[in-house]
Amino acid sequence: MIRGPILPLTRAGLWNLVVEAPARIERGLRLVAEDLDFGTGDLGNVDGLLRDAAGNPVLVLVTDPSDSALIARISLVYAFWQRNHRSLSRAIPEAQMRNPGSFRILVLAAALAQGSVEMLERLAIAQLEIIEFERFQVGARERLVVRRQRSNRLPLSGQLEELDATIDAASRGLLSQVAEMLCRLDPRIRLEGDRFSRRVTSDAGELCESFYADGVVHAVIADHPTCALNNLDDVRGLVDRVARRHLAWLRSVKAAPETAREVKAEAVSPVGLPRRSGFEALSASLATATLSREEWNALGEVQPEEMPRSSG
Amino acid sequence: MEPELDKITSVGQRLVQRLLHWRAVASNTPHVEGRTIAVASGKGGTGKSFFITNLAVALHQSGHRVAVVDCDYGLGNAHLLLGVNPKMTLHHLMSGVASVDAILERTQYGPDLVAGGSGISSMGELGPRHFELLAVAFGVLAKSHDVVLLDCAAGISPQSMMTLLAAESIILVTNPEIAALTDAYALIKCLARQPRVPEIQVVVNRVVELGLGQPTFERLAEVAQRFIGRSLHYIGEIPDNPAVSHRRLGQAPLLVSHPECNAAMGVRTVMLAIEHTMGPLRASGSKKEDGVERRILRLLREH
Repeated sequence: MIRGPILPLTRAGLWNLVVEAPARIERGLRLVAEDLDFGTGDLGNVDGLLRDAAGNPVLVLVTDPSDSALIARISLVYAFWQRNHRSLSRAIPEAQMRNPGSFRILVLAAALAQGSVEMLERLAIAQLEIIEFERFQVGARERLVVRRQRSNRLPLSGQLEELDATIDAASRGLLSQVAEMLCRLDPRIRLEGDRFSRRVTSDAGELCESFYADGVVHAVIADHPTCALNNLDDVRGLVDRVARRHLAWLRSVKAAPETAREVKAEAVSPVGLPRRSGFEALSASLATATLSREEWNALGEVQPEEMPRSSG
Repeated sequence: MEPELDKITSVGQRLVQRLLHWRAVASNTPHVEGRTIAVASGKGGTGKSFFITNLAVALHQSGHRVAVVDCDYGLGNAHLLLGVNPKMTLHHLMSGVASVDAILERTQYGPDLVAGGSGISSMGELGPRHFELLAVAFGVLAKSHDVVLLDCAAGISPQSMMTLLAAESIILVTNPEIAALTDAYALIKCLARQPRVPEIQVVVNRVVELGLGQPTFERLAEVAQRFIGRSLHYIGEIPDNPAVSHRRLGQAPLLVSHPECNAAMGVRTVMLAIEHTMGPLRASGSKKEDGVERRILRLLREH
């Protein structure tokens, strides 16, 4: 049974979800620091500083419908980081920021009114992204939907976001190759992902995820350790493993009544005729290759007027 | 004189020893042979030649050494699909005027091709002596390729049946139509009466609706199991695509001209399924008795 949320997510609850698993928002996100005061005073602090897979800083602001100071807070944080990003990157060495000037501000909310979204859009801050978390229950288990409400940088197409502009061309090529090759295997295979990762899924679940982190493309097949993809050969190897896994699943779904060996073991023809070989037996086979009424019916579920003889 | 005789004897002994050593080395050399797969269809027009040429290209693209043998002895057309104008065909081989190396053509798309006897009616009258020559030719091809694909004529004739039984595995191409299904079943029924029938894998071609291949196969497999006790293996479906039906003579195989289309992807998926069923499609060491040449000769001898 699927049910909607019983209790709304509070700001603290939302932030806990981020702390528990930042990758829920985006593959490769890592928490660096919590509760930072960027001179916003009474308006409230920045809930967290994170680092994305490319080493860029990500500032997170958690909000709820009662948060009337959100717009002001975003404006102040944006201006503060623009002014001081060099100093801040030196002050927080553990963040290992590669390009502190290329930052993003994520606004996390359980639900945002359309009016709030429009107001945020009017800010025209290219680095601003709005992410909504929504809880639901399947049976007794609670699940979470993470929805990208709006991204000023690049629009979402279904669940597939374009790759981040900071990813180098070689890594971008490898990520694209993985996705393209896997999607060729089976038209039922689906592709989703955020700006740093590509997740390939089928009806069997997740087949493979490839992601970019700190200049290297990695891939992980479910239950297997993560491996690095350095060149096209690595990509082919990965696709081969995924294809075999997918086919194994397809075969397990399809009924396989018995193996060929079991049939081969039969000493006498199952139709009860003595087996002959060579041209003589082959010619004899042609003479007896007529379909009985029962066989015809079983194949076609029709009642022919005449018994057809198979073509030769 | 004695020393001279001793010398001669020792030289002779060494020569004999060397010969014995050479024989020992020769007999220890593993017999390496590629996989021989026959592609058949009960009914004509199921897309068998389309499938085999594109499967060959797919295998070549994934690094396999592939040879296609057009065993449609009377009306071969694989050379047209692979863009080859052969000077010599199987007809020359079986007439004894050319070796298999001489009739083997390298196509521009990668796979090697042995063309069939297009339009030669006498090719349908092949007897055991011709198959002895074919056995040797198939053996030579299997030694120099990872995969040898035998494109058998549609329907059931002793010649095409003999070719099917020579293979390690049979791929049966059928369509969801009732006519194609009944003829495919008739072929399976004939095969089931022979000793040592290769494994039969089924591919459903020209599927107009995604997923229709599975129920089509299930119906065929269920009837084959119920009436002749034969298990079949499903290796996938190939969607119907206008890029296939609207092809003109001289066009490149679909995997080259439309590599991204759903039919091309279907062929690739089937290729993977074949590998999954048969194991690696690579030339590997085996007993010579299990090779394609010995298989054909055994079939003829049993006659």
